[in-house]
Amino acid sequence: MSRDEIPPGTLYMLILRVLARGGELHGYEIAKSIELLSQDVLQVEEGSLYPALQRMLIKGWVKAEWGVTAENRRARYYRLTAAGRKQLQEEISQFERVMGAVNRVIQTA
Amino acid sequence: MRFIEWLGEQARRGRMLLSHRDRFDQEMEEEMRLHRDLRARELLENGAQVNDASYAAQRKFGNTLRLREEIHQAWGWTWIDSLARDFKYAGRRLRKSPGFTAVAVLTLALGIGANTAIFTLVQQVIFNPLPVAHASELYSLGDNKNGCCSGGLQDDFSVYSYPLYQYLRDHTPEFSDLAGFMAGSVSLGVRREGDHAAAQFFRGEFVSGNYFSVLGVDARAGRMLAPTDDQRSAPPVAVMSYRAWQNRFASDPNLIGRTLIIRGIPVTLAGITPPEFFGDTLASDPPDFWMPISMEALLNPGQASLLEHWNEYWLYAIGRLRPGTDPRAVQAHATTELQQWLKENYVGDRYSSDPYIAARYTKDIPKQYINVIPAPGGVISTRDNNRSALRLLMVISALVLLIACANIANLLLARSTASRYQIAVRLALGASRSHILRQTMTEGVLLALLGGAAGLGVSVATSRGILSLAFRHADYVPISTTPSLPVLGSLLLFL
Repeated sequence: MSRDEIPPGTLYMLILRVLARGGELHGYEIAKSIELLSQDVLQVEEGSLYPALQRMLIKGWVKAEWGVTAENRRARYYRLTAAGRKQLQEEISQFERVMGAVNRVIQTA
Repeated sequence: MRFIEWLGEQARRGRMLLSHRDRFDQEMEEEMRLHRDLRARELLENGAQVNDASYAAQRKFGNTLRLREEIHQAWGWTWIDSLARDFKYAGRRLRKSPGFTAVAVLTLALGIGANTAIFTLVQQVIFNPLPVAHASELYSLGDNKNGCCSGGLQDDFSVYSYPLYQYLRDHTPEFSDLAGFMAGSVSLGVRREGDHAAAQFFRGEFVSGNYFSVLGVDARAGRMLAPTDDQRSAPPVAVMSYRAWQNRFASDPNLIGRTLIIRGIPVTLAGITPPEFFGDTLASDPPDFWMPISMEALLNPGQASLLEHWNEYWLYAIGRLRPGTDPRAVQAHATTELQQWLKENYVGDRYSSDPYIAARYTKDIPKQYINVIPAPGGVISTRDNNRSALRLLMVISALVLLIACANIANLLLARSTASRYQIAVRLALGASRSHILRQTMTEGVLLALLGGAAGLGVSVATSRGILSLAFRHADYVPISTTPSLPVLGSLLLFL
């Protein structure tokens, strides 16, 4: 069962994408969602999720609020802001630009 | 756009620092623990052993401490963390060598305390204006070096007789008004009307009716004196200081408008001055009562009265210059008027018809003059006496601080020489030079803060001591010994 580390620099995009889909999620749910959506191929290095989330809080892409899980444990839930939604579009188009270029290089070489 | 985003980030950083910093680490810890617990449960459900599951979850999660560092760095808190660490370390080092710490703190406390005390006094005595409205417009006729109560020509005029004061007041339109007041004060026996106990001792000052309006002092209660009070025919009134009212009459509000017996004469108490007002001169034992000059003849009956004596000089004069007036022009004009008045009084038949004396005065009168000088601090004379002494003290205390600093620098140097091996070990373990420097500096700052705090205590005690030395027989000195904010600010700057 080999899994791939996510490419550097795309963690923000993945988190934003998952949040754009799922409303309010806590950290573990975000990690699980990325794994499930990538059909277990992509694996988030779990701890690094939290510094990334904090940096996104600083940039104002997400908002965080404390809530309670289904099992009655306190958890911090993250939600996308308008700025985060915009950032997601930017990250996706940038990613596609880069991937397209890389693809072209691979196919012509 | 970029700038606005940056601003938003800084605002979020600041808000987090101010509101959530204390429980931030705890919350972060809780959040990560939840993650690990959920992961461990999932592994369990997939058939792992209990111990293995939590260990695997932890391994998968990564180093929590490192993550926390990373998060702190993201928020820009690294400097707070390292500062706290440096301070803790510095505190530990200082505790380890209590002898050194005690000597250093004590030295600093003495040096800083003495300086703070002196500066507190210097600021109040030399720089602080009278607590009156627009003190910078106040100008004094004469520099008041002559002291009080003389007769004859003064050359450099600064005390005036009542008639001369009136003449100058009416002939210098450059002043919007000119107040005259007694140089010094008189002692008064005062008791309440109908109270047959012995009279109590107070200090009083005779002032012109416009005194309070020239100074711009409004009554705390009742009213201040008015020019109509300053007439021989007016009913006798007096104004009491807030301090006397509070300390000697228990702030009795019924007293205002009532009659007090002053030197056996019934006098109506018109009002109470504001608490911060201590009179025209910063001196020990300021007046408790201010009375119109015209009452002088009433309280000093017969020959004792100075009021009508044209050549008994006992009054200072301070006025409010009209805006835009050149003090030098006023000085020239006042001098002309003075010489004119002197000629009329000394040379005419009113004074002496003896041709020899008249000739001498005619020769001397052109040499008489008045200096018109700024008087934002009121009458200078008392201040002048203490000024040079204070200046000397200032120099001495600055030297003391310099010596203290040199001593401490020596001590620190000796200490760092002693800890050379320790520093070498730390460098070998990978500490950066800048970090070691920062730690040493933090230690210095901690020492300085401790010394400064101790110095504050010393300063209050010292300035009390200096005041009681300078005014040995005073019951009360209107100088506060609490260091003011500007003084404290410059103290911090010193550190």
